[in-house]
Amino acid sequence: MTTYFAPSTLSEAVAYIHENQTAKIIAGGTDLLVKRYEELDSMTGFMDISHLAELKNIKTGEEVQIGAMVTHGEIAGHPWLLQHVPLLCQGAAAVGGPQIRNRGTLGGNLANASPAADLAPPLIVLGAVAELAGPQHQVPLEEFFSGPGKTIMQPNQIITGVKFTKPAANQGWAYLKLGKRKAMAIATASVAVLVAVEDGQLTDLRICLGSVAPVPSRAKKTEELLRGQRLDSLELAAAQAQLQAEISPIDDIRGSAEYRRQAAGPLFRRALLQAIKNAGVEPDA
Amino acid sequence: MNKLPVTLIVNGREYKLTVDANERLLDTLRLQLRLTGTKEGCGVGECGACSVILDGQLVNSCMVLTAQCDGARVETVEGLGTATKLHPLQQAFIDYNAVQCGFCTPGMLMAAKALLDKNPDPSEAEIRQGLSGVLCRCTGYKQIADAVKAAAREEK
Ligand SMILES: Cc1cc2nc3c(=O)[nH]c(=O)nc-3n(C[C@H](O)[C@H](O)[C@H](O)COP(=O)(O)OP(=O)(O)OC[C@H]3O[C@@H](n4cnc5c(N)ncnc54)[C@H](O)[C@@H]3O)c2cc1C
Ligand code: FES
Ligand code: FES
Repeated sequence: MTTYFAPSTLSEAVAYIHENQTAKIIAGGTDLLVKRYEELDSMTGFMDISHLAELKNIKTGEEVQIGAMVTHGEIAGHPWLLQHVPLLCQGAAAVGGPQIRNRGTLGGNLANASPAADLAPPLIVLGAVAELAGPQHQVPLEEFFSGPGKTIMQPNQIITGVKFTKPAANQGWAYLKLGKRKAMAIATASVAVLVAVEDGQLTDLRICLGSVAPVPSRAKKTEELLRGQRLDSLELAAAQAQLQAEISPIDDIRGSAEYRRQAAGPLFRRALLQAIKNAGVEPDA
Repeated sequence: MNKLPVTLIVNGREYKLTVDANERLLDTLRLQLRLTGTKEGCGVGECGACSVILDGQLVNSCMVLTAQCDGARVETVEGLGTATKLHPLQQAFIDYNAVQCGFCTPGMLMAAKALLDKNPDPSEAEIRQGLSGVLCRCTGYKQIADAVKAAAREEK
């Protein structure tokens, strides 16, 4: 007999999941109800966190904090985020269609730990930290994923949100997603790039790819190769080759490993050039 | 069975129901309330045939547990118009031949309504975006997009 419990505070939620570890947390349900479609009748129970007001806030400023229950639609349309962190809005806007964006949440996207999760690469290049409750813990998002569908979370932990520092004015960004169609497609490959540009020099950059490794992954050797290069003499071909050597894609229904490796190169190159173009340019409010 | 009391306001009418914990909003609408206009295509969020408007937001009713909706307002295709007084979107779908088998039509209509409620004068691109979560296997999307554009003009 399936049970249902909707805590009204975070501490109530933490206590309940501690006592009832077989209950599944449900937020927007857009991953859970797909995976559990066949087993809906045999599930032990749900803990519904979709009404937890504490997890629905977006805190703006030098430090940005986004609650786990914030939906993709809310991120994609948030005026302050659109102006200051458009990279993240781009990631959120790339998720599913309107129905999915209206329900699907940041917390669910991360907890579900798909290598294709559209919020992961943007958040990782932003240097985001995932905040967990019960036991409380903060972990760089980069270290949060441990395999397809797997995270370092304990069964009694809840993601409460993420936080990161607002990108500086000299930083540029891009998120590109390759899918079978524009809407409703899970990424075959995706790439987020964040660069810092000073006096014609690429002083710093972070690259994170989705769907080309068991978890969303930084391309650190490619970053290293490009870091410090002058914009007028970027070694793009070498960087692209390094990136292709660095990833470990697999064959699945959305594409073969070989296709992914081929496609990731130019996708990254385009993202890098777009990010550089965006650097220092204040996006229209 | 762990039965839960849930109040839903569907198309303006209040219903006091008891539901199972694992009951989807789609099942409550179709099986308990006999509002069978909302269709189940895929059951896993892909097709949009089950689209309804929940507290002003377009959602797939196969992806929501009814227990999550206590106190919520739900709009379904049955609330749009009546047989004698069609909603402008419904009339436009007829005028523009935007219906063939009709299975996607309730979802298309609700997606279009959700769009026009927020954006009464959408561009072609915004219409396509708004409808992108609903699949049609027979009509083709052009007639449907044209119908939505015409309904938007009509409502102005
Ligand atoms: C048709 C369709 C298209 C999609 N397209 C995309 C896409 O393009 N890109 C993309 O990235 N995703 C896509 N998704 C996947 C999904 O919509 C997103 O990953 C979404 O963000 C999941 O959030 P949710 O709130 O619905 O999660 P739920 O389904 O509620 O939960 C997912 C998992 O996370 C756990 N969980 C949820 N919240 C928390 C929390 N705060 N703490 C701990 N555990 C938690 C749940 O127990 C469950 O295991 C798609 C899904 C569908 C059905
Ligand atoms: S039945 Fe809900 S999206 Fe297909
Ligand atoms: S009219 Fe048949 S699916 Fe759209």
